[in-house]
Formats: sequence, structure tokens, C-alpha cells
Amino acid sequence: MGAQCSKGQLDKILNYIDIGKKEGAKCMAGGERAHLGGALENGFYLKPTVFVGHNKMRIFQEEIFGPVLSVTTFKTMEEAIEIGNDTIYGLGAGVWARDGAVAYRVGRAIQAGRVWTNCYHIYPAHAAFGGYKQSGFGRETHKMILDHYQQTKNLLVCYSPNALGFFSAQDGGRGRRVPAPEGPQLRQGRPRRPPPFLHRRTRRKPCPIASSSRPPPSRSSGR
Amino acid sequence: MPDRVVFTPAAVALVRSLKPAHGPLIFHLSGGCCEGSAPMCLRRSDFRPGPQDVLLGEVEGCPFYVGAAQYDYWAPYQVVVDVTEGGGDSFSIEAADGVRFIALSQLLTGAEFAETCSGGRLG
Repeated sequence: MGAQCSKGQLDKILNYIDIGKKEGAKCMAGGERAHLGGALENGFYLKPTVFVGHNKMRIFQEEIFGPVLSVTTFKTMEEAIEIGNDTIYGLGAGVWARDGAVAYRVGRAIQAGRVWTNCYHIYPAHAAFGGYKQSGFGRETHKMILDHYQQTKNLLVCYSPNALGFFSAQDGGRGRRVPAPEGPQLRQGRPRRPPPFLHRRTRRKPCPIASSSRPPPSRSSGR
Repeated sequence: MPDRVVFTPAAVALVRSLKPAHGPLIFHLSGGCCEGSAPMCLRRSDFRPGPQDVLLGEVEGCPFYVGAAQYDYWAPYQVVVDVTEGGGDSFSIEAADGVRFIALSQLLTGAEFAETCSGGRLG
């Protein structure tokens, strides 16, 4: 196994190994620096380490960023899901199951952005990758994240050569020239004769199931 | 009541040497991913602690904060800040000088832990 990237990182990992032992976790493998001798003797090498404990230990909850694996046990699928979700992080998870129903349910119940199922740590192109909870925001390696780098522009264009009204084009946006209403205006400011297309749009058709108690709409209503 | 955070003599010396060059400092141990297990030393003006940060104590006049998300897991420990060589790539101020603060955890005794519990959270 290669060396740690810096002395500081080596010290951090050794500190977590120490914390694990203080917390009562059982060290099954490694747990100390690796002395490779010769020219590599002062290198930042660590023995791969495996602890057995429970999920409330710091070595389970915190990111060690070193070759330290913390292992615990579970009795039921529900307990496994509960343990798996009892963390502030949620970037990657792994599920190993021969039973398809188990693989289906656990994968969907785990709160993580990537659930490797019967595989681990592969990163194929266009598989969206990112975290739940405190593991981050957004996704990488998928076109969905292009949305975050762009903003929608709406071009709302009128191609009519005519003058426009403020609330709607006087020609309905269809390019037809409409004559101004003639004659004196009626009370309430409504034109005597509305333009033909407006008239068509607002004339009410008689209701096919009109009841005898309801009078038909009158033409002088001015609409 | 025991101090929740203490600095080793080497760490105190480093803080004293950084203050004249950078002014008032602040420490933040986020506990998050990546470099989160090492305390960040920043200029006071470069970091604003928020409601998710807990004030653990003060060292050489510099406040020391930790992130609240995993605070309960650290409660039985005293944070001991030491200095290691090899600054590396880091936002922490001392990294440019080729050294790095690290946070070690010292388990509090039962009596000490009881005292900190009754004292409650600071800040």
C-alpha cells in the first residue's frame, strides 16, 4: 500500500487509530505505522487497519481518510439500513446481496447519492455522482448539472409591424390591421361595436341544456 | 472545569509567531470531510462563525470553534492541538510556512467529563 500524502495526514490517521482503541474498538489488523526499511524507512506508510466496533464510535462517524476500515454487525435488513443511515454523510454506499428484493429495497432506503450494488467504487461516465446530507450539493459526471451553469433566457418576440397595445396587441398578434371603433362611445367607455374578432371570441353560445327558468343572454349586454 | 481545548507548547509558540504577521486569528475545527479533522487557522476577518459552530475555548486570545454536527461525539474528549511538519496544500495560514496544526483527542476522565456536561456548551 502506498504512503500517505503528508506527515500531517499520517499523524491524523494514527490519532484516529488511537481514538478507536480508547473507544474500545477491537483492532483486528494493522493499527500502526509500516516500517518498510531501507530508503523507505521514514516514509509515511501505514499498515491497512481493520477495527470491529459499533456505529456510535468516532472511528465510524468521522472521516479518517486513511486505510482504516471500521466494521460492525447487524441482525436484520432494517437494522442494517438504520445503521447505514445513522451518519451526517451520504456520498457513497455499497450493498452486497444475492436476493434481488433485498438489493432493491436497501439501495432505495440508503440515504446516499451513489449506492454501489454488488460492486464497489466504479465511476462510469455519465453516472451522476454527488452527496446527500452533508456530503455536498449537486452532481458530477452527468449532464443534469449543466443546469447549474446555465440560466434560462426567454425571448418573447412580436413580429407584427403594427403598433402594440400595452396589455395585448390590438391586432391580436396576428398581423391584421383593425380599424378603430367608430361613432360615439357607449357609457362605461365601451365601444359601440367591438372589433369583429373580439366579438367572435366573446359571444356566448346558447347553452344546449338551458333550463326554462334561465333567460337567454341579451345582446345589449355590451360584452 | 477542565479546558475543552489545549495547545501544546509548540502550538502556542506557533500561534505567537503567526499573530504579528497576520493579526487576530481564529481557529475552526469543522469535523467535516477531507481536511475537516485538522483545525483551520485563519485571520479573524476571514471567517465568520455561524449557528452551527460551537465555541470550545480561547487560546492566546484566539477563539477556537468546532462544528456542531459531530460535537456530541467529541464531548468525552479534550482537543489537544499540536504542530506537525509538512504544511502541504491547505487554507490554514501556517501551511505556507511548512508546518500544520493537528488536533489530537485526549479522553477526559469520568469526573472531568461530568464537569463539562454540567457546565454545558459554551458559546
